[in-house]
Amino acid sequence: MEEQIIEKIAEISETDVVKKDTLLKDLEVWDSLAMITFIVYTNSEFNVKFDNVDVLRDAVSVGDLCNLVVERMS
Amino acid sequence: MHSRIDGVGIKCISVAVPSNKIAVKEIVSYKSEDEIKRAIRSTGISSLRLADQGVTTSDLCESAAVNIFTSSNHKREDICAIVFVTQTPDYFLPGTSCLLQSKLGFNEEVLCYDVNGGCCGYVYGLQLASMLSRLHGKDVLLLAGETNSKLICREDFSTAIMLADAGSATIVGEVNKETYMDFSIRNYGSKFDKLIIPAGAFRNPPDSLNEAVTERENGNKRSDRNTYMDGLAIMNFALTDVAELVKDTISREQDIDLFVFHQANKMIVNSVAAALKLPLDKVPIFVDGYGNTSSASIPLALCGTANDKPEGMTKYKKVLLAGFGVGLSCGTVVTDLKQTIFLPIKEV
Repeated sequence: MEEQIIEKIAEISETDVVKKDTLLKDLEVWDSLAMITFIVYTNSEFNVKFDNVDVLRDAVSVGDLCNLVVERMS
Repeated sequence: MHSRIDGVGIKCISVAVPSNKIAVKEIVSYKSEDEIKRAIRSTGISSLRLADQGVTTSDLCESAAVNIFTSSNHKREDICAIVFVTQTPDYFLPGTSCLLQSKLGFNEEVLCYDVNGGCCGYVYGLQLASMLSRLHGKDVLLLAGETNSKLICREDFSTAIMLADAGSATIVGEVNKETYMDFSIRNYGSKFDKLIIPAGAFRNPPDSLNEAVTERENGNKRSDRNTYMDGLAIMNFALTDVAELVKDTISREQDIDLFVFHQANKMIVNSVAAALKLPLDKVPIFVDGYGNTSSASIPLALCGTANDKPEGMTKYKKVLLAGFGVGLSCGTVVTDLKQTIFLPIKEV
């Protein structure tokens, strides 16, 4: 599942090589629209809901985003 | 809060939009072509309508109302109240509905209500109008619209690419005995700051500091007297609280033929529809060429959809309208539009 999320982040951010430890600031495109696209994806794909979206803004790396999704799935 | 009002429905809807249609790429020409294309792909809005400097929301609503009285058989004498929903009134005081009472030629017995409402305002307005109609046994004129262009800063990419201007007029009254309006409205006041003009009223009175345009998040520029929208929080609100409200409404009201959401933008409407597993052919999107017109977006989508289809709206026995946004607030109304007249969109 993490691979799936990372693939999606690569697609959203228009970045060729994305790994778990890639920093969000190093992605080609990671702005508010990218974050909106990301929560739409996690909602439709994993039925994940966020009480507070600030946690997404606070995320530093791709791994942080993966963890946020996984935590909410369990 | 759920409530059901029997015996009343929507008789006629008219919408007026500014003839001034502007391409998004012109509005935000300071952005790169790629950024603009990417945004348009998400919003579905390549152009929108902006009112001229001297045109207010009440002018657009007045035009829509005059269209009803000249293009349909509805008469001023049948109206007992005006409900005017907007966040861009003509003045702080008096209420704009009083001015519209005079401009539209109503007598002094007609009640005048101003409602400060945005993207959920049409649903709020329908609820108030239907209650007044039941109380007085006459029709109510609901006027809902916005001139968002007066509140946004063009250098704030997040709002400039979609917020636009329009006015609507709706006659609410007794359609037939079987007609009803089923309302559900919820408010989330703790999220008030997610869509806000922080200064310029009385909590933070106007001064030179809050008038200054400065750089904010993601390079957007605006002053504290411009509209600020936390797009991520609004999308999250739509996917969670709004979707939950619509889901609850659907569980009570089955066999809905059409779902008309506030036309925030294509991505939000599609995402809520997907979260609820609604068939996309039952969820119209009517934003391109018009933009997000706040409380006018639902009547605009209804008139646009009705006039785009040769059979009009007659096949839609049960329709769900859903507004959501500033407050944060969200509301649904389920009603029957079989006998509603949808006038063609008027350019002014």
